[in-house]
Amino acid sequence: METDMNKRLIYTMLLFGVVCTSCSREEANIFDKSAIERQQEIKEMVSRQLVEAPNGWEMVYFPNAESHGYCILMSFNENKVAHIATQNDAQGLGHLYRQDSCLWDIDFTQGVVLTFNSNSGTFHIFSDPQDDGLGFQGDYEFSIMQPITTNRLKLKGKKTGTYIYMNRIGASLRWEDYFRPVDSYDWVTLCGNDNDHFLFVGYDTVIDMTFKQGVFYYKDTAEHYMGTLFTPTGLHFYETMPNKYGTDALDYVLNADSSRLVCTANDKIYIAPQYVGVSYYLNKLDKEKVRWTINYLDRDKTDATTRAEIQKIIQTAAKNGATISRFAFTQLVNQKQVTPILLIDYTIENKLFQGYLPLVFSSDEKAQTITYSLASDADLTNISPLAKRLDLTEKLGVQRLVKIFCDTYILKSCISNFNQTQLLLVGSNGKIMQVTADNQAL
Amino acid sequence: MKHTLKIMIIPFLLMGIMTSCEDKLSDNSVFPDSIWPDTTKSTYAFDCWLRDSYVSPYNIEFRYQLQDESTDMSYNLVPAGFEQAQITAHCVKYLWLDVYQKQVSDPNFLKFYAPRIINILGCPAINAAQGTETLGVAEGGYKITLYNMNDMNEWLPKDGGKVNVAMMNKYIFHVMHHEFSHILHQAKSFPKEYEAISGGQYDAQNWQYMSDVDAYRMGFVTPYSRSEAHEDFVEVISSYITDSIGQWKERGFEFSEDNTHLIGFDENLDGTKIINQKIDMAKTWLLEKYGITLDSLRAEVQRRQDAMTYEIVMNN
Repeated sequence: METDMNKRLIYTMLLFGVVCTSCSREEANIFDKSAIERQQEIKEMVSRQLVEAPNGWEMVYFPNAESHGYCILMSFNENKVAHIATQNDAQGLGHLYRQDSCLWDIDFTQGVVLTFNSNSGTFHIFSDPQDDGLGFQGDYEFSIMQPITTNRLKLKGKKTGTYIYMNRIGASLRWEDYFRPVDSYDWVTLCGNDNDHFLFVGYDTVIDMTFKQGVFYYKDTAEHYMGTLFTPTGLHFYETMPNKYGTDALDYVLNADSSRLVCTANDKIYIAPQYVGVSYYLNKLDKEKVRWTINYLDRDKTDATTRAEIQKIIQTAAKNGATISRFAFTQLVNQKQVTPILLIDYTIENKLFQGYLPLVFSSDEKAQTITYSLASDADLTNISPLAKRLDLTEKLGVQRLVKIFCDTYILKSCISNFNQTQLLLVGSNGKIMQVTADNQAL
Repeated sequence: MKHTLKIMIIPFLLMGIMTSCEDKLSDNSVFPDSIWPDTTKSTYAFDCWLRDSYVSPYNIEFRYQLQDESTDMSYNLVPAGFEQAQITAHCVKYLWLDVYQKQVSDPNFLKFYAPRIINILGCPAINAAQGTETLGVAEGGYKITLYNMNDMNEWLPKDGGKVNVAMMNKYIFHVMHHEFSHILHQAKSFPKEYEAISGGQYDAQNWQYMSDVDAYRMGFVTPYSRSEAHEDFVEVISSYITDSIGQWKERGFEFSEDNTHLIGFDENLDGTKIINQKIDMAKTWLLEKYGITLDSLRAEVQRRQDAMTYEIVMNN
């Protein structure tokens, strides 16, 4: 009997134990609102932030840390339409101002995410696989990082992890006008400088950098590709260049004599071209085997008399059935020797020919001069067919070319001291010829 | 014994009292309003159309705003443009949903068997390492992904230009019928005898190196059919439905006078006989299992393809 009573007592206690534990209350609420309500609040706050910039935002966009970057303008409206503008040639359709629109939204797939979820040709070109399946490999979905401020947002590409910044732009700025200083900075500094060498000063040693496809490249114990872009205020790096001052060396502006790009945070840090003037001219000829094309159109800085003389040559040739498309100083390299030449591209009956006049070349770096002249024993075989079409006799034809192109020239920068890709050859009697390094080897 | 029962009942009563003391429910739904078309969005009218044309009748989400977690992240992809998304949605309704709805007597057929999500992307899915392109993807009968929809306005031009049915079939309808046929045969198996028709000829590793003509000669409607019997079965159905008489002619086949059989470029070759045998088996299976007449389905698709213009599709 006593045993039965004990058993009942034990069962009763066990049942109570079960009842009591199952009746424990839920964990106390840490937040005063549900997760979905809090998400909704953040979504509304971020959306308001984006929409309430009346003239929109500047997005400093890098497809990845090691690639050329792009400035993109965008504005957001309450109907979830984003208007987007760019001025670049990323689409391969020419360097033109373009504007279109797409849908945007805020979601919570990876924190607070800004997504551009319908196609915009100007923006999604950076994520488009293009023909090789790769394209720029950029992002179109971005986690918005804290803190979220009124004038600046820090984003992180969801796929690549690349950091992107968005800056609110002034209410009075016309979007088309935004890109003028961007292009202007590009023009006076790095435009046409593909494969050129630059010196980075500010580290323990001077770093020799090569500029290639919008990226500075240098090698120490490892290879470094430093993504850059131009903003209206200057050159911007994705990541800081290494320097001995511990400075965030991200932004650079052109100095007064346009010879250096100086870091805005520390003027002891700067970038300068490795070669200028004659050394640049020679380096292009000797190492890169490029052509220095002579520019003779009205818009060019070649003097009017020389332009007229060149046009006369072209007209004479045309009358005799030859269409001249280019004059250039370059070199003819064969196994035995290097011959400086004046190259002339021309077509006869749709067939392309290259005639050249062998020249004698000398340079003086101290005086910043170069000299082209005709050797007394010059082999005129190659120029003969064309020379005959320039005048009735070969001799006269060649003499006309020599008179125009051969001289002693002082070299001067045409664009800026930083950008040497177009030079002025200042000769005797007021002769000025503008020449452009066209990076195309003969 | 009675006393024992009383003792046992008391804790249960207590348990009932204590478990019933739950918190009061909030009046606010935890679901955001956005599961319904958002009246503030510029897409509202289209979203309503999708609700009325896809969600309500068929329980299908037409996903046109890209969420990258719902795509294969190994590809570089872009969303479809809004205009192209609208054309695609109308086109899929015109040339796929409406066809089945008309051809199948069971009104719940699509609601039951159709994929739950149709996901569209703007660009092709190019595998950069292999240099191959994926035309479409189906995930377990649940989701179909269509690529390259940003070319839709070229295939179905607004200005009345030539409609490119072949490209639409390549990127949309061949994929949709192919994947839908997988769903159907996964629900109701096709005859084992089908697998024996080309039994020894399947080659999962090397099918892509085969030319189209060699595939036809061996009795496959496409080189991909050769990869495996299930793929062969659905390729036969999708090609038979979507490909025009002109496309079959380019392959060297003509249709019989009653429009139900292929006549090959060389009747003595086994290829035509084998393909016809496969088509016959697919016809029987679809009719017996789902009440679908394949020739009738094909005729309806072909009629719609021939009549298709931008206006007809968008006003559908």
